[in-house]
Amino acid sequence: MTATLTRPDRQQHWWPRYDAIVSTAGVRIVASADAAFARGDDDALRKAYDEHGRLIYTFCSRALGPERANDVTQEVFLSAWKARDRFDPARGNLAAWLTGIAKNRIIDAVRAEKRHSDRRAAESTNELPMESEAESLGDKMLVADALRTLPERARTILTLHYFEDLSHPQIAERTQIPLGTVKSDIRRGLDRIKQHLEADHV
Amino acid sequence: MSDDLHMSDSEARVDAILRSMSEPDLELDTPPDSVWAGIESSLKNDTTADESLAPVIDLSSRRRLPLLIGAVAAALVLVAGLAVVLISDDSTGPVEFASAELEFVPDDPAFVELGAGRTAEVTLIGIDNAESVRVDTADLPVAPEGNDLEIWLIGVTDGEIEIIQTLGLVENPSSPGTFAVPDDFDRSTYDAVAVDISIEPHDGDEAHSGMSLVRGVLDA
Repeated sequence: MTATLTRPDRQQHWWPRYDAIVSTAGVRIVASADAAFARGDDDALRKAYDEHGRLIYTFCSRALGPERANDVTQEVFLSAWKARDRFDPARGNLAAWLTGIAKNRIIDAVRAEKRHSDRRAAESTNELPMESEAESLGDKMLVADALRTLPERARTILTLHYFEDLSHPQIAERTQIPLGTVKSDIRRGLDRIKQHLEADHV
Repeated sequence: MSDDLHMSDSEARVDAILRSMSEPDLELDTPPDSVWAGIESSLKNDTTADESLAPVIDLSSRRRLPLLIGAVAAALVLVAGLAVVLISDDSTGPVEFASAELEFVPDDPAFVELGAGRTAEVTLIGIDNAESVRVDTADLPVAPEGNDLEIWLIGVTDGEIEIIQTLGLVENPSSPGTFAVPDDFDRSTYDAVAVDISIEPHDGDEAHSGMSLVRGVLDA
């Protein structure tokens, strides 16, 4: 049945239409650790904690302060583990799923505190900025997490662009990397980060 | 910065988040050891309760459609296209649409030693309304040093390759992986859909290397 495919010559430009039609959208590599977590393998929770514990703890710590971060981090991993049959690695990665759970826990914790300290109940005007703050902090945490997983060259280029405010031509000049590569690395980098953020099932 | 990149909405979202960040946002704090200790001890306390609360579904044991291979498969693709429409309303769990046994592509002598007789199994599954390809690569060799194994989806019409899209890299052949089918890949528009696993050198070129290891056509 493979006879229906024309074997290309390796020396030729392979499948010329490729560049026009190829799409990196939808590429998702399911890490085996994510699959192991969903299956509930014996040491999968420990591995997930080793892999994502710092991410979740840092998120909680920046939102709630280091003391309460300890408890909330524990709650996030315990509740994620109990609900692992709802985690589908095909639809999002574990980091994004855990970050979504952490965001909800952080919002709960802030609300609980408000109720405690202000018995007249929290005013709704105060809740909205708090939720969007947790949301945007969570987004930043995941973007930083994705950035760490990018190949060295793309990470360097994105860092120069976004944190040192260099333009594409300036980056090309500074790094001696062709301008086209700089642009495509930024584009692919954004794509990869975007996929890292997607977690449909939170 | 006035660099001209035409961005999709979701890329623009990532772009906006990055612009709102500064370097300290990249740093991570390390939790004290007591955090894991707490997780471990409460886990021990409710191990029994946990087992009854969270039954784990083993996806690999879900029903498999019988393998249909050969030229008949291509002819059935049109029928499959219709079936998808009917089945995809069912959002209760993974549905298996098609499968294929990928076989060694023997026309590249360079890989006879590496790939002869090797196979991989792929299953096209749908979860809710999204399609994914589940790939079992346990029989495949690890890519030679400096190379990756990459999975491709190929749409063929009239014996010509109409489209070839990457699904991703095989991280670890010994564990099965699941790869989302790109949203814009509409398999009903092709006579046949093949899955191909290639050897990709780390050369910065994201196009197919032309060095296929195994390939097969999805049945209906």
